[in-house]
Amino acid sequence: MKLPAPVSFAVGLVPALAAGWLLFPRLLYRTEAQPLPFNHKAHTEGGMGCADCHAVAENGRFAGLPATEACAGCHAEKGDNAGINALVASYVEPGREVPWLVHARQPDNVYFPHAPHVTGDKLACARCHGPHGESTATKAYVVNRLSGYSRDIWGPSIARVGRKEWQGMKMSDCIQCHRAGGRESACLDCHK
Amino acid sequence: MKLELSRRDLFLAGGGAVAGIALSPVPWKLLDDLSIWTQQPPTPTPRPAGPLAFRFTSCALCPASCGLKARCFGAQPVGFAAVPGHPASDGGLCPLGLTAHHLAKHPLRANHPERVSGGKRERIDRAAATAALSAALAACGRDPKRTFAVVDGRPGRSLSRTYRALAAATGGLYVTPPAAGAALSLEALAKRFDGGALALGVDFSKARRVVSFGTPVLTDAGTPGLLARLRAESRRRPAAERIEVIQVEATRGRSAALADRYIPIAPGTEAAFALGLAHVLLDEKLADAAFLEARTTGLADFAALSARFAPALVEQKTGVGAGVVTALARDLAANRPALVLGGDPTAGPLSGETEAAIAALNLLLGAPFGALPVRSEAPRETDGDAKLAAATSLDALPDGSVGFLLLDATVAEGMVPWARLERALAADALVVSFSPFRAGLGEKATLLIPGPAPLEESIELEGPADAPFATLAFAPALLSPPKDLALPEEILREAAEAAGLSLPAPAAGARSAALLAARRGRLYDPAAASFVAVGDVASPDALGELFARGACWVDDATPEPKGRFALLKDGEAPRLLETALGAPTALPASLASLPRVAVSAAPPSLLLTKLTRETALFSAPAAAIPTAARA
Ligand code: SF4
Repeated sequence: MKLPAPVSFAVGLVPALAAGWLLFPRLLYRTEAQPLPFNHKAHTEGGMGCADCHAVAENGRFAGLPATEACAGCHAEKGDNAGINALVASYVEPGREVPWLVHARQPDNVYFPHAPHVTGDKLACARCHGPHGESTATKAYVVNRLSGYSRDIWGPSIARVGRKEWQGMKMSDCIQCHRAGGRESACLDCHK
Repeated sequence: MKLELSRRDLFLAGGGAVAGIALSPVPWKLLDDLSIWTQQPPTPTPRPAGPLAFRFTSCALCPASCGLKARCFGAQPVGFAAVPGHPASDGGLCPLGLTAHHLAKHPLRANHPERVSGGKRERIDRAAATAALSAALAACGRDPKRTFAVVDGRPGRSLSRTYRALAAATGGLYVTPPAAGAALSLEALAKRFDGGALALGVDFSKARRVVSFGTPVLTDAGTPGLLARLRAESRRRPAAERIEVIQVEATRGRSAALADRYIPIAPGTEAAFALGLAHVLLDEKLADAAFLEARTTGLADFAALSARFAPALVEQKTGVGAGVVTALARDLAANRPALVLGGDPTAGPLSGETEAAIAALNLLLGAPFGALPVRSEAPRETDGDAKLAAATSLDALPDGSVGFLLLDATVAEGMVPWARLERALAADALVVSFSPFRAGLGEKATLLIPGPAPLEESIELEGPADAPFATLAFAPALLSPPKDLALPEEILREAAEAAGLSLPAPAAGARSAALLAARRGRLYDPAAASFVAVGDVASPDALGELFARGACWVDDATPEPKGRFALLKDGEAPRLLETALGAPTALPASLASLPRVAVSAAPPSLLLTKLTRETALFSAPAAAIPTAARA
């Protein structure tokens, strides 16, 4: 019996589609563990805001991830929480900074000033970083094997469909938002 | 039933697989990721070893001396951020500073001495470079017609002391670049003061109106973005408290494009315009009468002079409508504190007479001791018994007289025009540069002895001369210089010794000792984001430690001195009148074809301006390499 042409075609098409949509993303990304577990919600429920640890100065300048010294302000001693104990033992006591894997990390030639966004345009942190403050566990750091950047830069969907506005930090995402606000400017504003 | 598979089926299945892949994310996702992958360096740069740490220093790339917070892995800085609250920059940083750690790896970086002869660059060793220096020093000592001259862009460092000693030992000249930008106007104003030496700064935070005749106040001048930031903040306050910037220039430069008002003026007629404003202020009794009464002399003579500059005449001379002149004068009077700066407009530098008219305008507005506060210099060690040459200006270099010209790495081409230096050179003169780059003045040298690149050496940094208060930092090095790099101080001492010249020993620690002895001012510790009074610093070692952590000293407020400013100096009126009544000058050919009213339609980016003005290093390497070297 001869196979009908559409069936022969489908024999190639279906596995290729499956490989492209299901297998390829698995091969493309790998997961790395963060150095410590971290419960954002436990902190924000206690009344802390983003800026209490990720300080944004009054003039809008962003001080980045908190230094271990800042963590040590509350967690100077071990207790009954394994995560806090690991923080104290591995970082607070030896005076080392925690080498967090940063989901929002951009190439070195990208200059992102928080001041005009946070202070100038009053954008909430969650607009770009998502509802991080509600997470109870450290989000897995999923890294693209080719580009070396976090999957969060591309967004969770490989097709980039159905994304929430904070999912994705590609240049096109910056441009889209700037365009919507009539704030398009020169290449060297963001690229050094 | 047997399934028959033909070649046709294989082709169809292959076609289906290709279509399937094409309809999956593989092609475009791979394209995107591979394009990012190709931007990685050819051999992947391993993440520098060592824990993440933050270190502080100051940027030495221009006089603004901004504070830098370096993100480092181990000893390697990988990124910079500004330091909020830093006395010199208050959280400002320009793109050049943000990328300062890359400059050491710039394609135009030189790591070894190079001699340029017949248009060819030839690498030489340290001994040959030292021998060339000592021979040139000895020749200058023997032949009075071949002067030794050294140009220093950052006077006051310990290396500057060696330059001065060398100039004194050879009977040569120690040259410092002339004041530029706002400092020119401040100097012109201070020279009119009869109460002794006076230094003034600019405090934009105290001004509500800023008029600039050329200084790019919103872009390149002073602390990056400071005035723009203050203006943006003021816009959130009631209209009466807002800061406005008015740029009066022949061409609409970047600062003018960002200004609240740009007044295009015929080039060379700035003095007439300033006198027109003065006329309206005096005629309508809008000037600061209390300040004029208490702090100035010569009001009657100046009033008589400015009376000739009615707005109608100013309109004829400058091309600016009489109504605009009157409205601006009234606006300045109604929105004091106001200050006026001259500087170096693109169309050509302002004359001394124009700066005199601008100084008088500042006096009428009562700007000195308010928006133009008095400041003092950072404490400095005394010369003691050492024989050191005094600083002199470029005018002291007669044409064709310099047999050996030494250019410090801090001298940028924008500070001292090469054409002026070239005129001073004798035939066969040796031009030595300590620049770490084959660019700018480093490219003009016949002997390039590259010194440390930015961030490769600890350097004493005094803030800009037009800052409202003196600052001083001993910016610690963050990078290691290449092995075998000849340090200017060492190589000069070796050459002087070989030439039989004796130089005083380096005054290590003398500046810190002077600072401690003065017991003036406070030290900003960027790591702690707090100040320590100098009086509370226990010892020179403790001070050294603070500076090694990136601390910056800032002076206390300086009390107002007694004395008066002359609105007109002796014999100045006729020259001022002649300048103000003179015909407009022609625009330089490079600007003549530009439209007078709008060089660029859209306001330029604030960040771009410093980048384009302050360095030749950002020109494409191929364009910046001298033709001879490319050949
Ligand atoms: S303005 Fe730019 S180049 Fe100048 S000191 Fe500041 S960061 Fe450095």
